[in-house]
Amino acid sequence: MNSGKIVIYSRRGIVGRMIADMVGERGARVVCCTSTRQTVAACMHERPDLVIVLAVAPFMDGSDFIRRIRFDRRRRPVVYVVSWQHSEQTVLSLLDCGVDQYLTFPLCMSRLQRKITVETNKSDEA
Amino acid sequence: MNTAALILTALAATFAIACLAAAAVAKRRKDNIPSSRERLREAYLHRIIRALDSGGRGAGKIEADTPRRRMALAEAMHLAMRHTYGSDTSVLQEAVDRNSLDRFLLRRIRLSRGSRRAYLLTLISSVPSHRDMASLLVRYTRSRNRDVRVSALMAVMAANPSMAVRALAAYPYPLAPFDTARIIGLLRRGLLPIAFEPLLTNANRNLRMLGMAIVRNFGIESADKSLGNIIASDPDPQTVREAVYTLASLGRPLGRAKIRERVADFTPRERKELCRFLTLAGYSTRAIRALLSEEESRYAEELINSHKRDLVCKQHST
Repeated sequence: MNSGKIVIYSRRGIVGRMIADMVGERGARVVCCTSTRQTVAACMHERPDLVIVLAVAPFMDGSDFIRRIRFDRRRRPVVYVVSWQHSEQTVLSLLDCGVDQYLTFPLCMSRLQRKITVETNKSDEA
Repeated sequence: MNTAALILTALAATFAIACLAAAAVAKRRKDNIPSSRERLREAYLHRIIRALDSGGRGAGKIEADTPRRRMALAEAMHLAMRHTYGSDTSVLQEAVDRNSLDRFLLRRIRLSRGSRRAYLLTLISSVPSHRDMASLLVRYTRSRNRDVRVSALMAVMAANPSMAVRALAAYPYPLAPFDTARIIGLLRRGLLPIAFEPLLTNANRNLRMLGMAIVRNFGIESADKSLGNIIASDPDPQTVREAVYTLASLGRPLGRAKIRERVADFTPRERKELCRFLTLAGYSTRAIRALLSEEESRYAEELINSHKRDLVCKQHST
């Protein structure tokens, strides 16, 4: 059980909420967003420990998405990207961007939950 | 005159109502307001995730008593199964049995046509069903509609994974790369066994193509020798082309005489495409020169040295 804060971005609301159901069961507070603007606003308001982005496009469209969600240098949220793409080029580009973890669909629920528990516990300790 | 005016008024009223309804639907979509069907699907999805998470404990029985609810349940199961793997699906099997979901979908498939039928077959491939379901779905793999027969093949393979290779071997049409990608999707969900070696040496073209797709997707470097054999002896140019690309995606050397011979048989367009792929995969100009002509190697060099490489990379990654 932990009390971390998580922001999830997915253009398809239902998929975002499905991931929220997976990770929210562990007691974390989860906010789902369907646009990048909403996500940035949620990050400013909630100051989450973890941001899960279920898309690759926000990092590629030149909007400097990662800098905007990490606007506060003192509290740097961990960023996970989950997508269907397996291309090495995509993974390397995202890691260069500053993404902490890249996962591909389909996801193993228990593995995702454990990873998130570890991340939120780490930030609790910090 | 009066009748004509009445008809015109009725038509205008119908048109106005249709416009208002379309505007309302557009506004709902713009504001991301879910329809009642979407809300129902989401409620089922929530219960399915809870059931999968807890292994069926405390999630309660998943009931769907009307056709509308059954369809929403099937769609929710499809979403959950498509995005996750490794969970115990016996709790979903129980829900399928309780609500006769597989029989419901089978009846719908029988009554529908075209893309609707293909969609329902995709749904049934995600619903945990019994093995005898495969025999009931086999007839759709011979459909004239390509989408229907490929979706039926997926459903047959998912219903009886131990017979998946046999079902694929009996499939009478050549698989397109997109179809192979759909089968790889089943593999990634852990529904099919990954035994690539017998596939690569099989006489059936579809099985060889699937074997190569597995090697490419999972980066199996030990398949090097089998791929070399396909390149050296396969009579089908498309299979040879796929084998060359698979070998290149593994980053293996391509300078062998047999590979050079087979690449020489490619059309100029295919060679240019291969040149771009090799450049993108990070092959050196020396390695490309060993495989392609001087002129094509110069094109690769230009691609590396100019801004085009960046464009190629960006195109590939978006």
